[in-house]
Amino acid sequence: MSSARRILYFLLPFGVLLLAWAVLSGTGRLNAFILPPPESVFRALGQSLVSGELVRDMASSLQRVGIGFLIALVTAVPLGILLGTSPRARVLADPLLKFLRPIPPIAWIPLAIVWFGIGNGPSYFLTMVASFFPILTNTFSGVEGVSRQHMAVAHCFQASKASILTDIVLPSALPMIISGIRTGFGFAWMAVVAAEMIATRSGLGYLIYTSQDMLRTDRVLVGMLAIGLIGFLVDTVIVMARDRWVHWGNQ
Amino acid sequence: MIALDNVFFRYPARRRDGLGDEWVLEDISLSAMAGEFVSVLGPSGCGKSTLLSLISGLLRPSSGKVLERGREVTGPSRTRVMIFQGHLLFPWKTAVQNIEFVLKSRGVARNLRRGHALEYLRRVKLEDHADAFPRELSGGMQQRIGIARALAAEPDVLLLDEPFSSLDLMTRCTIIDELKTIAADMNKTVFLVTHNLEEAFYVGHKAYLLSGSPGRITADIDLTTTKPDQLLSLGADSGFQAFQERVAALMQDC
Ligand SMILES: Nc1ncnc2c1ncn2[C@@H]1O[C@H](COP(=O)(O)OP(=O)(O)O)[C@@H](O)[C@H]1O
Ligand SMILES: [Mg+2]
Repeated sequence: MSSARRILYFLLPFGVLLLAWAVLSGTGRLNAFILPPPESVFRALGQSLVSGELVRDMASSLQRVGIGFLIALVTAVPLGILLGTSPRARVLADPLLKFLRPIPPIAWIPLAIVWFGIGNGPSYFLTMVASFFPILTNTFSGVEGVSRQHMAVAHCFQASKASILTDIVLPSALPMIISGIRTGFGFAWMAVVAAEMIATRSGLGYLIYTSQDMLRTDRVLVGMLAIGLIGFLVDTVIVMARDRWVHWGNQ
Repeated sequence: MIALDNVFFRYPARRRDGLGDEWVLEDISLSAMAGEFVSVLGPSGCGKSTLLSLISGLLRPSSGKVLERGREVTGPSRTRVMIFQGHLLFPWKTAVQNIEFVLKSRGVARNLRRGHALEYLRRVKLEDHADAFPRELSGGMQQRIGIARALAAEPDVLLLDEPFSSLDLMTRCTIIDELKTIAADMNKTVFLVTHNLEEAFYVGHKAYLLSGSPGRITADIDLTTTKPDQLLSLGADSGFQAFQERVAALMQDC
């Protein structure tokens, strides 16, 4: 596809959505509280940008999600490798993990508040829980999927355990680990917004929650736009990094 | 030097009723000296790859022994290295990194690895492609990197599993000559599994013929004494089975 066409295809769905929104709120049938018109949302967006409030909220949400996500990354990847390489560890851990996995992150909110109080603690915990399982399961399948033939090559050359891990297991699992990271970040990003509605006094979740209290649906939409935008940007950066450095994924 | 003494092999039974666990290889005895180039011929599925895995130590015989210099082989060793069927280079490593991997296993110091690896690439004339990834190279180039990677282990024995089957004729000819030279220069024992008679007879000092189900040696030919016209008249037509029978007859004449 030509790049002009690609840009067109990229923008088209957003244009259609914006148009539908403008038409719908322009009919006058819906009042501005139920569906604020685009111009009032953009006005609210401008105000919160000028006041610096929106940037502050984005930064605190990102900081929370970043920390929780990093904790998940440095625990789930090693655990996934352990489960993928040791049948005993797998048999031991599998039932417990299968039991914990269906519990949605928001179900942890009450306990998280009891354990960590009001503030950043519950958000770190929830984003960690949310991103932990996608990263774990993807790492695990990535490690399990390491080609037997590549392992035979390694054994044939008597590669050390450390070298098998860093030269073979990690690189061949990397494409899967990256999918885990993408899903995991998405889940964590959703979880942080939920956590902020209840356990914090800042962040995009808090912005949405308080705006609802003040009957400011335009500001609710500003918060939602910011959430969507950041989620989109982070995923785009991950995909770009993958395409740049990890070219062996689809083999 | 390599010897197999009455080697039997079957894969672990996958079914409880014991079906499907026939011998893959039955009573294989053979030997190869240093500097000797051994061709292994046989129909597909007769156990040629399995035989190489046994020699490499990746598999252990169900009974019988694999010996290297008179000592029993109990596991893989860098002294006996496989060059695998298909391209088994690591796609996440460049040509030179694929070779550095082996040097690392050999304990070569980090700062010397690249230099050494380039030496091995030079032997297969690919030093100009050192930093290319396998997918950027042709099948023939990939196979030569596979050879360079095996040489980097400084093995005594090279095990080649149909290494040329996916290559076009011209490339195959070049690589076969390269390999022949390398093996002769470096006094290696080479086992070459192939479907191709000309290939087997051109490079081999000795050829073993296997029949299928179970895999047995039906003939061994000393290619240094058997006359070319005798050999050429064998493979010309009418299939491998007939060929094997004729080879067996020839062996009795000798
Ligand atoms: N990992 C395995 N497990 C069970 N059976 C196998 C395995 N690998 C090969 N076989 C069987 O062993 C026989 C010999 O296979 P192989 O050594 O690959 O033959 P060749 O290389 O001559 O084509 C075949 O019947 C094949 O189905
Ligand atoms: Mg085979």
